[in-house]
Amino acid sequence: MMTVEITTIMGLKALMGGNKDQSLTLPDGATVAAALDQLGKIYGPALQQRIFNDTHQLNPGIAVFVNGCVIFARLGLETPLQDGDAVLIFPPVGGG
Amino acid sequence: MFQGGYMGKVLRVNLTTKTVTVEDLPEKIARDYIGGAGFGVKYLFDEVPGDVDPLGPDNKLIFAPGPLSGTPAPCASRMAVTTKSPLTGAVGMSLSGGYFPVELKFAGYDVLIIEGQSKTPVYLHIKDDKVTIKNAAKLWGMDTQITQTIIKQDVNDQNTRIACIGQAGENQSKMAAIINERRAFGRKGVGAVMGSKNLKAIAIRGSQQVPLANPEAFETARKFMLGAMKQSPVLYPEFSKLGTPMVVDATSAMGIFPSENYRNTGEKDYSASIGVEASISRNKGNEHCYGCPVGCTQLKLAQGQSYEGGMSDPEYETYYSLGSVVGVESVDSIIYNDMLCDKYGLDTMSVGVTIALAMELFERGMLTAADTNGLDLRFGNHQAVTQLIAEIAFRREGIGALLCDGSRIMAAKVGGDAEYFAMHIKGLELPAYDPRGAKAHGLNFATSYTGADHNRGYAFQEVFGIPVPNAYDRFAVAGKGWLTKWNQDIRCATTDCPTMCGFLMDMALPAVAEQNTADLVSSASGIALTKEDVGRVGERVNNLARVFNISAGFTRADDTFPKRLMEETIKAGGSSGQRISEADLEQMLNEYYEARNWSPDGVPSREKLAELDLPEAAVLLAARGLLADD
Ligand code: SF4
Repeated sequence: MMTVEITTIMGLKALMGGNKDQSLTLPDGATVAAALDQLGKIYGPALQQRIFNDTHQLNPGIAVFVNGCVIFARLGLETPLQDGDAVLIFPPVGGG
Repeated sequence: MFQGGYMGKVLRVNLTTKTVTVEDLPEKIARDYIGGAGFGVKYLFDEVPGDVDPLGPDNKLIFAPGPLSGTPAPCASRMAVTTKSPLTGAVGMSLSGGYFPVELKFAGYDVLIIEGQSKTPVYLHIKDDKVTIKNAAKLWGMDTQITQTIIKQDVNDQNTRIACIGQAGENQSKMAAIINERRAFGRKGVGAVMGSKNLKAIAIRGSQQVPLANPEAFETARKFMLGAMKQSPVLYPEFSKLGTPMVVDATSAMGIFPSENYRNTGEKDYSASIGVEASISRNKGNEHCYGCPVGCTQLKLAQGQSYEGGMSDPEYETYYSLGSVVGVESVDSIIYNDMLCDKYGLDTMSVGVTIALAMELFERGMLTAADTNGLDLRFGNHQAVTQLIAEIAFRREGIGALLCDGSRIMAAKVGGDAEYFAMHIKGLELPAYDPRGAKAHGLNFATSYTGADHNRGYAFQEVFGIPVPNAYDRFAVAGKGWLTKWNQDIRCATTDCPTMCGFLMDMALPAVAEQNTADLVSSASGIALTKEDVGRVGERVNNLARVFNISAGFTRADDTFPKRLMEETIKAGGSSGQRISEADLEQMLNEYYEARNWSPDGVPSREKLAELDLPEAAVLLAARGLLADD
């Protein structure tokens, strides 16, 4: 088993019990998709529907970064995770 | 003759001779530059020598909305002001929104050029074709809000739209802004140029309509844009409800929200105290620019003993400049100090970053209480920030005079190692993103024609993870030269020239921005533009501005970062371990120049200038022996 550190903000934080940061234990070799599925199991359908569309792809505007790198620049939802990875999940955000 | 979009006229006002002339807008300029920043850079290049004194009579202020301003296109009430910046010495181009931009179109003009220098304070009153230079003696010394109120009484018209300077512009602070309503042509000291001309305000009222060349095609393009806005994952409700302050939470989580003059970015989580949850608790409603269904501007009322009654609309950047970068964790002081900057007519960003430099020097003993008029300038002292804003606006002897021309000049005055701690590029103070954790965003600061300016080539791929045109690792160096060129050209072509609000382009139309611009501008004006034509406009403007800057003395050595960012590593947070080495900078710059077809010295090639139909730029470079391939 391994542990990754999940961080999220704003609306997604509210859907994850108000936790900005939390640790998540996953089987070795788990992917980003597995981590998001596990969070969906913990926090329920409201979170699942916010993150995934009907075909289990990320909803538009949701971005996930692993150790700072957006997963779209790696293997998307299939990006493998390692023990101690920092996973940042953004709801749609813009401006500035 | 234009069929629509453009009013076809350039209004020229000479404050030395007190003459007013109206010229035709050449169709070639409209086709090649579209409007806004494009017009500004073109007229600046043609009429102002690169070595001109920015605060002398030969500098000009070129105000230009775009062909979509005043049409039913959403979010197009924007205007560029272009000048030679007294803060940077480079092209100074600043955009504002609100209601002022469309009014110039309604009065019948696409461009307003202010030249010369009045001996006494004046303001300009434009009422359609009646243009009057009026005495502003009684307005001199007044703040921007009172000035707008009094002028409306003076011209007996409450619907007149006004852009004006406050005391900071009068005192020629190089951080002075031009304020219209509550919005600002904020950066690069454009307010100081207005002050140097003794021009207190420009008041406009127009009664005309902006014609459309092809109303049916325009309506189709407009509907497409509104549809894309509705489908945007972020415009509604998040952005319209929260506005730009939500970005504090995003960049804090990424570890790129700079704090305490960049010495400890990522070490303290400022989103806990000045993030969106804290700031939204002060909301009193929102405001829209003309023709904008989003209304992102969040009006906030400060609470608590020191600041109650303070009301303003701080944007993301201000939570950094009057917040984290000066170590302040009070939203109320940010709201209040933002209000003060607007009132005096100051750029909140440059002011905050310059105060941050003073604080760092104070904590290091390089400034003492004798230099600070007794102020305790330790990070976090928000009362000191309040006090300093007034000292700067009035250029008060001592600390006010030391800070009022920005961080570069302040560091030079202090001497020693002060420049190491001065967070500017080409004299323009850095925006609220630590470049070490977002390399293309940073490279844009280093290469933008206006200095450290996030808006000239916003890397939304890095900051928001949007994979358009591709996805990028924000820490990587390779590929960032190409990406920066792409971001700068598209930003310029689809927001700065047509003058559309940049937020929409990033949030609703990132993949189709050029086509959307081509469809709207073509149908409004009757000038047929393809998306490739639009893309070339962005490239043309960036190249012409580069050549202006070369003529002003800028070289490759100026495309760089503050030393601190190249020597120190981010120690904590979401970008821990990141820095930009000399080798990283070299690699990114080489790639950027190559992508632009510029020489290794950063000079546009004859081939590129010919491709962009910029013979005037080639002539200038050739005359100086600088044309790369000669
Ligand atoms: S989104 Fe905001 S800045 Fe842009 S036009 Fe609308 S109100 Fe103005």
